[in-house]
Amino acid sequence: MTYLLEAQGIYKSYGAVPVLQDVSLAIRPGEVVSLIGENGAGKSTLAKILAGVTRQNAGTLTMRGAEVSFSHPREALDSGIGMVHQELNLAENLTVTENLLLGREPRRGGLLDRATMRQEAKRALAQLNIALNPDTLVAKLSTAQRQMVEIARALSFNAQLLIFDEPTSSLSEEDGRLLLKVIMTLKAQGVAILYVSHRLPEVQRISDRIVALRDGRNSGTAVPPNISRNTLIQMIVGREITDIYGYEARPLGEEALKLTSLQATPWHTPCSFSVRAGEIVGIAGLVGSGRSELLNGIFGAAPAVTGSVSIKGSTTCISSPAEAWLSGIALVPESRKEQGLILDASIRENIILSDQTKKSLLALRDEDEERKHTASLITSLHIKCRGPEHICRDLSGGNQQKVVMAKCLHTKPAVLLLDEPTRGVDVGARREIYSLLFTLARAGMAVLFVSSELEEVLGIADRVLVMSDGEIKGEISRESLSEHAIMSLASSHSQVAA
Amino acid sequence: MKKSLGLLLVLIAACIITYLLNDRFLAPVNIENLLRRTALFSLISIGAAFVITSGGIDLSIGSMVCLVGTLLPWLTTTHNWPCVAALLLLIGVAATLGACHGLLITRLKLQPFIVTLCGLLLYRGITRGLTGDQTQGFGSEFEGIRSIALTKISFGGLLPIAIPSVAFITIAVALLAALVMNRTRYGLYLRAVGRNEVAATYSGINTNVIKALAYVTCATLAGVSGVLFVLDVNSAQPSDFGNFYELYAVAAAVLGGCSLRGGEASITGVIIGAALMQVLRNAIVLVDIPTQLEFAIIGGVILIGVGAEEIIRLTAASDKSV
Repeated sequence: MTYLLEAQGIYKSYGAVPVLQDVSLAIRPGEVVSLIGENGAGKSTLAKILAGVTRQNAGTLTMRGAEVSFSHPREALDSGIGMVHQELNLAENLTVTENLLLGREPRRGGLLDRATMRQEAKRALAQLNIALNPDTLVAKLSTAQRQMVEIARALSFNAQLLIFDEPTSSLSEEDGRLLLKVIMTLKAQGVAILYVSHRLPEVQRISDRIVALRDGRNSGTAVPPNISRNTLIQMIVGREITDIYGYEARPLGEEALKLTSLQATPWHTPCSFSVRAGEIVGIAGLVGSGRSELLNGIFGAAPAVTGSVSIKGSTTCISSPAEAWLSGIALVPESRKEQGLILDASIRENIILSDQTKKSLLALRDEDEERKHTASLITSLHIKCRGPEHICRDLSGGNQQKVVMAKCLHTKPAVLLLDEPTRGVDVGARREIYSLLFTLARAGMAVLFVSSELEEVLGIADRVLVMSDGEIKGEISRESLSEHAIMSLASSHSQVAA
Repeated sequence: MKKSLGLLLVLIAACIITYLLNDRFLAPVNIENLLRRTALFSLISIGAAFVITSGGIDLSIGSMVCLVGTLLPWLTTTHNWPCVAALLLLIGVAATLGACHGLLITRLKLQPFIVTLCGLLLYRGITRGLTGDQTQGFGSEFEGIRSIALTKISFGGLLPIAIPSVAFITIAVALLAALVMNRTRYGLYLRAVGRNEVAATYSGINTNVIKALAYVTCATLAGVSGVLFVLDVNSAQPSDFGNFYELYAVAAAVLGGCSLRGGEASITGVIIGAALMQVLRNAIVLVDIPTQLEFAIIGGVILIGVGAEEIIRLTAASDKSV
């Protein structure tokens, strides 16, 4: 069968650093090809070249046998290649229809032809088989729905190839499954899919072919079914990793964090639980079940409505992150780019920001000391960078996440809260983050984390709290942990009395 | 630092070209004048730089200069206030008004543009009302206090020109500002807030206090320069004293490398920016360009400067970014 798109001998470098070297990739119509690899392996760069976001230095792209070259995403779209970005690119203040047709609105007599626009939008949404009112403002849509709008937008350009860059990293399991269903629908309609993801289970589930990149080169191709997880991991990292979690039991200490009828937001049910020193507790649940709000309530980023928090036995009133840091609570927030890091600042500047020990604002800083301190954290967390002055924007996702963790550890907290600690982080860095969490727990830190990846929750938690509708529905100890146990609690909606 | 160097080259080029067109440019009187004007405008520009670094803007600087500059002679001559008392009161008022801007912006979450635009209208209106729109000045009295702004230090003939005292005031303020911006926790936090306020909050920074203090700094410096301006010229007309000064201040800060997106500041750059603006104004007079064109020329130069810098930045970024 002939290929829809063929990329051959792609070479791309930024400055003197080659990101892609002699990479080839081919996709047939109606085929789902997954692209896997560690952060920095060149997956996103390759996807961006195909979508016209950036241009290769050498190598050719052929679309249906004819050579093509894109200098703008619009040119790629016009030849039938659409991309659904990791960070969604929609105008929130416009409606679904307006977003779908942005830049090529049908006109009549110089004015917008609203009726035709609406029809076009409906047609595109119907192709995805989803119910969405085309007049809704995008601001009111969930992440999953926005993604659907992006997909519909690409389809309305008659895209024959859709590129997905980490599409499920910000979705709940449930929404993720829905997206995979939509992908299968598109495949059935003959649309080719290039699926870039870190999540191996879904890659295994949907792919016709899996292509791996390592250090900017092709590092293997696998054709499911009958491809084991280990084979894929080996293609990604070049060595075998059997257990990326490395769980081991530890002795637990005193209660380090105790919540007493803490109500995070008005729609939360007050909850009480505690985490002991050395314990790693996971909070599972669907996206929107109120897990992040609970962490933000404890941390004071969005102060809790009622209830109290005590740290190592002393009750504290936390109404701002500043107070949380001072009382020994640190948070690795959900979005590292918006909440966790100042991307345009250096690693050093980011790390010292969290130091809220009460010094005068006009006290002089000692930059040499800061640099030394940062350098030691860089070494101990294995952050890959040029040094303390490296700007965070230029780091890979995994290394950025490690900087956020370094920023937390810098204050030597008693309690570490983490919200989706490995979102968008590759296998290698993930393993390091898990092993760091176990090291910290062994040293007596209490760890409370939220994760939408069940496998991760099962892999590292000593105990799991399951949340749904702002309420903790139950607690599962490690002995009785299973995917099934968590999901049945997570999807148990509150009973309405008849 | 590299940025400031580029701007410095532009400044030097502007000086050379002006000199070639009219050699009176290097006359001691002209240089002294330039130094004094640059020093005065640098003060308000440094204040603007703090606010811009926080991600905000202050449009009330010119009216603040007018309020303080006009009411100082008004209180001392018309109302016979002791000079020191009037001075302390007015600087206090400026700082308090700055704090009000800060509170409205951080607590009520009003937009800095709106808050300080209202400031611009309010302070000038109040000044004109209080003084009955009459020009205020010290006459031939108050030589003691006026000498703060008028004294020149000649270094016993070591230098061909005498350095105006305000230049020393500005150098002291600039050194202090650079120290605060680059070496203290406040400066670090201010840049952090300007770049990403959410992440700064999550880091435990009290972003409201940090931002409010930037407005206090800016208003206070505007007040101080209002005093120095009026001591220098000895005549303040409420309807136009300090007019457009906020724009000179913002322009100098932006030329000097402060991004209106926030988070970036260079005190050295700001002062070079302020100097460039004054050289341009001076050149317009010396080269016999009709003064009506002053704004057009300054506007054009800022546009070219900022545009060129952005193009350089974009070219540099496209080389390395992913």
